[in-house]
Order: sequence, then structure tokens, then C-alpha cells
Amino acid sequence: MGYFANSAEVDKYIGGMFRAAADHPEVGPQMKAANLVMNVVYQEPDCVLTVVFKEPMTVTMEGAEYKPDITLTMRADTADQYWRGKYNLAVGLAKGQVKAKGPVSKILKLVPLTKPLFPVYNELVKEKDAQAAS
Amino acid sequence: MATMKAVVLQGPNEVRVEEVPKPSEVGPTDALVRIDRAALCGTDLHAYDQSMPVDPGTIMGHEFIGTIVEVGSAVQQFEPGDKVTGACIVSCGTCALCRRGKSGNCPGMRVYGLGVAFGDLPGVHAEYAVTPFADVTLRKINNEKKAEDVLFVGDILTTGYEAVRRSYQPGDAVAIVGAGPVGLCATMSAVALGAGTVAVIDRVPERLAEAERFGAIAINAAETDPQDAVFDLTGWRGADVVVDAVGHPSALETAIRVASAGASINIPGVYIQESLELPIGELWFKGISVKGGGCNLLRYMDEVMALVEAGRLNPSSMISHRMGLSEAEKAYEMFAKREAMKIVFDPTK
Repeated sequence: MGYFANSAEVDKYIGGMFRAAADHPEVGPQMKAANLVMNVVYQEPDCVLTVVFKEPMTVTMEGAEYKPDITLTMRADTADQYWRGKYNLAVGLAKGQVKAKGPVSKILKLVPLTKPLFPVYNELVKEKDAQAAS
Repeated sequence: MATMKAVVLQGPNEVRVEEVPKPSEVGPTDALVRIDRAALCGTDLHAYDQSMPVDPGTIMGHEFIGTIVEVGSAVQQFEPGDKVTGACIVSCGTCALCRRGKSGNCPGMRVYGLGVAFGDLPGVHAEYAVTPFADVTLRKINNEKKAEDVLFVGDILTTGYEAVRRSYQPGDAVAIVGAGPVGLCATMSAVALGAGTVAVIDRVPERLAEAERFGAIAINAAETDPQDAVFDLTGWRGADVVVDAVGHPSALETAIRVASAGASINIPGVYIQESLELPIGELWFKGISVKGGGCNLLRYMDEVMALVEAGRLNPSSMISHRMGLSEAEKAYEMFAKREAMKIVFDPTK
């Protein structure tokens, strides 16, 4: 059994983290300036999250109308570990656990923006972690 | 907890020497290295000025020589006490691309000191560093008298060497655009490989004088049209191998103009721009091949080590300043202002 019970939880926590990022004082403006669309295809549970890095920044599940500039694919549990700051993306790419499609230069500019969001994500999942532990 | 001195990125144009935890986790294929010398590289400046986004808190630096302190249980080639240098791009050595000699494109490629986008690998402007895949990425220093030359094998020297060697045939005319450290490494490599003509194009007289010392013909683009000069040197044929060691559209334009029909243009200079205009007609009619990307260090480091230890490549003559690691803040400022050609740190000071 993975960390997320269903796609709605992926949307709530991973999608929620991107929504929070839009309002992050340091990261938000830089993400909106990226001017690109990213699809992340998750497995277990299977779902697709579309993040529009523009003003306004939007995060939607399934059926998004935008053609992505970047597509990433990974297990939802991998995403959970990454956003906790416990998963090395380079190692994941080497092992084929994470796959990426799109302009490398754009991906390399986005990745450093994610690090300040690790505490935001850890805060988002705190309650779920506590429930799982009890 | 044991601590060590390290140069830590604070934000745009700001680094600070801090006490940070000494690395303690050495994985099965890792080695813990005490850094004996580390150099400042142009790529560090991309992180320093944030033209390449790198997260604050990152320990900087990727060019080093050192002494092995501890090896992981699976390391076979090294033992504590060995003097080593290492590839600045840490490739796995086992994936499909690494096995085909394209380690610079390893999907799991990591670079010391460039933050989370490049694998979150702490840099070597520090007293100690953990080097992953030690058997694959490290090279033993056999002649300690050459240690300061070896310092450049893991990055700029092999980068400059590959920029010539990857498409070179004996006797070729080689033109190098940019006489910075990588351009000079390409220059000395072209001479060592036996190029017919080696021409170096720049606008800074001191750098051109350095290129001449390495055996090249200097072309000052502020005084002469580089195309006229290269064509005069090659019987109006142009250069067979052209190196863009700058990473700027104007340098690439010059590279295309001085290239012969059928030439190869190799680009070790880093392009951060997402797109630029190219004279595609000129490229097409001349049948020019263009190659860029991170250096395939694993493929060429052994050749370069052999030439260094034989005394045929002497990059340490580029070192303009030797400073203590504690002076790193000043060193980064000087390097950013181009007041130094190459700065080497001693982490004990």
C-alpha cells in the first residue's frame, strides 16, 4: 500500500503543495515567471497533475487543456519522498524511477525552486502522518 | 559532531566561509577525500552570480585533488592515503550512455557544488568531500610533482582536451575562440595532439600572450578580422576543428565564420540561453557539425592524465593566485571581476 490512498489525496497533498507554492513569497514569483506548463504523470495511484507556471499559477487534475512543455513520470510515493527532501532526483533519473521529457534548460531552472518548498510539504502532510502513526 | 571549513553560497554574488558538519556517511561505492587543493572555475561563477540557479546553502566548488581518508566496502581501486583527483561530473559509469562513452549525458549525472538541480552533491571548496562512485570517477595521482597540473584533469583540462580531440585528425588546423582557462586548455591540448596550426582568438592581450606561450598563433579580434586571419593561416580553407570556449552567441558566430567546409565546432563554453539565432544557411552549406554538452570526462580523463604525467600538458602555469580557503570570499570577488586567471585554494589555511 502506497502513501496516497487515491488520486484525490495526490491532488490534496502534492497538488496542494504547488498551490501553496504560488503564494510562497520567495518561490511563487519565480515559478510564475517560468512561463511553462508541466504535466506530472503519477503511478500508484494513477493520475496526472498539470501545473501551469504562469500568472495566475494553476494546478489541476486530469483532463487539462494545456499541451505540456515538460512531462515527468514517477510513482506517487517517489514524489512524496522527493517533497519530504528524502529522494535524490538525479539518482532517480539514473535508475529510471523518474523519467523526464522536455527542454533540459527549463527543467534545470525549475528544480532549484523546489528546495524551499520541502518544509511546506512536510507541514501539509503532518496530520496525515500523525493519523497513519496512530 | 565534527565540523569542517567550507565555502557556502548565501545568495547572488555572496559566499561565506562557514563551519559545517564534516561528512560522515560513506556509502559502499563512495570515498571520503581530504581536499588538498581546490580551484575556482568559471562554472562556479554561474552559481555565484545565479545566472545558473543554485540553491543557497550549497557548498561550492568542483575542481580538486585530495587524499583518501576512507573508502566504502565496495571500492576496489583505492585505499586510505591514496592521492587522487576526481571527475567534477559524477556519472554512474554503468548506464547505457556511460557504457557508450557518453558519461556527460548520464541521466543520473551529478555535479559537485551546483545544488539540487545537479544532484545535491556538496562541493569541494571544503576540507573534506564524499566522492560517489569512487572506482569510476577518481584517478590516482602517480607523480605528486605533477599534482597541481592534475588538479585540472577532472574538469577544465579534459573539457578543453575533448573539445579538440573528439573530432580531431592529426595535422588539422584548430581555431579556438576565447583564451580563458578552458580555451587555453584546448590550446595546449591541440599542440600536444600535434595540430598543424593552432590559432587562438580573443580580445585580451594578456590572455593571447598566454596562448602564444602554449604554442598558438594569437589573433586579436579587436585589431583583426578573425576570419581573414584564420583563412590566411590555412590557405583560405578555414579551421578543421573550431572550439567555442566562451559560450556566447558572438563567439559562436565567430566560430562558424572561421570554420572550413566539413569542420566540427565543439562547444565547451556553457550556454545558459534557451534559444538564439544561428546562420543556419552557412552551417548547412559548409556541412559543419556542432557538438556541445557536459564533458565526457570518463572517456578522456585517462588520456589527459597520461599526457600530464608525461609533462606534455602543463595547465598549472595558468594559476595566477594561491589563497587560503578562509580567503574564499575575496577570491570569488576577484574571480568574478576577472582580476585572476585561475585561483587555487589551500583548505588548511
